[in-house]
Amino acid sequence: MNLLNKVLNQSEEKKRIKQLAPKPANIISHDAFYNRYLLIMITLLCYLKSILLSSFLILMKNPEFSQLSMSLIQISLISWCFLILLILIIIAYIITYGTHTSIMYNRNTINLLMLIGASNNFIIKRVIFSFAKIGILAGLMGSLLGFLTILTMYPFLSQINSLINDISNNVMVYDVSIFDDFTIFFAIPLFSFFICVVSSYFTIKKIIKNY
Amino acid sequence: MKIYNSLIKLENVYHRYSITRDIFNDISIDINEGGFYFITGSSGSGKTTLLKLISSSLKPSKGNILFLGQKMNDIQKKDLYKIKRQIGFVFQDFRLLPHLTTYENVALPLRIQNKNEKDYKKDVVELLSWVNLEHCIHSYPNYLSGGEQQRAAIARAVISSPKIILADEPTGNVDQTNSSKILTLFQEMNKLGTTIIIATHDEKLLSEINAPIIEIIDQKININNRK
Repeated sequence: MNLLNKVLNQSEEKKRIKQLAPKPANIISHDAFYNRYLLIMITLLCYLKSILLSSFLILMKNPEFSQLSMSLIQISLISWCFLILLILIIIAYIITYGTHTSIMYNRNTINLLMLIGASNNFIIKRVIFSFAKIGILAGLMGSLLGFLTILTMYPFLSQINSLINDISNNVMVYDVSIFDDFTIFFAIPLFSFFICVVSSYFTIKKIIKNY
Repeated sequence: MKIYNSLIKLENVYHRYSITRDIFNDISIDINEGGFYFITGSSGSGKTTLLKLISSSLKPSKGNILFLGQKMNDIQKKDLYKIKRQIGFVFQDFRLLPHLTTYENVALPLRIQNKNEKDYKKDVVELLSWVNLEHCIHSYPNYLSGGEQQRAAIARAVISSPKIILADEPTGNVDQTNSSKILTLFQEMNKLGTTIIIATHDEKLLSEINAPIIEIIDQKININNRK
């Protein structure tokens, strides 16, 4: 009977402590206003990137594309690569700027954490985590929006070469073979995640050294 | 096991903020384990700077600071957190994180040490009841009174069982009743073996405990043992 009472008391005590101490919140707040702006901006950039990449793939797969002059193909390839690179650089720059803002915004928290014995790695991990979350979320939303746009625009895109060569074959063909290859839409969130993590890591590491 | 009588030792320490502003000019102090000390001095005399030097948050311009016999100068900046984990801080402005509850604020030093929440949950709740804050465990700091916030700050300083507690004007923002309660908490911690250093210019506080006073006068220090 005593044992039963003891077990019951222990479980009640555990229940009481669980009620008193719920799941703890993030030490470095992730829901600051600038994080929402970052999310919107990176989503738009990922959307642009997904449209550029997928439209490029659609055109590449089109047999009429090879009929274009070599120099035109080269120019379009270079321009596409340049645009994609530019978007990646812009994302990296935004994240670098965002990391600086995050440190400024959370400087009291970071100062306190360092005073009470937080290691540099602990702070770096927390800051990177918030940007990794933004990267993956923005990448997912951007590629989803891009996918929906391409789905709507596909019939027009497939006819673009015909329009360039002024061939009056304007029959709308809805060939969904491009969507067999969904990797592009999975790659964008991963790319965005990777860029966000790398940019924020190097920025926070540089800042925290001088703290 | 080696027993250290001296917890922190400052040897011929000089500190200056700029060419024209010297804070300390050749000071030496020996802080013993389990001791209770007050630091006094006029505003701007360097009380907070002395606490920062002791806690290794600041490097002296010249001289040595030893923590448990280990020279702080020899420790790399990235490894200083190991020393800081052995020090508890109590600030005049409490410095509780506004987006965390009282429970989360108190548990913060354990979270940064990557300890499992299951292991410390009970300790935090018990500590909060020790400082009479069990009723505001879920409250955010902005909803607590000054005295309650300072007691939460003390609980946060104590939770990781530090060797030393550094308090910078801990009663500066609280009334007399709370001031006495806070001092009692410090005395109880000291009885358990924790070294306490309180920087204050509150004469009433100094008169309540017969502890040595480290007085900062003209960039030098004068130790009054009051025995």
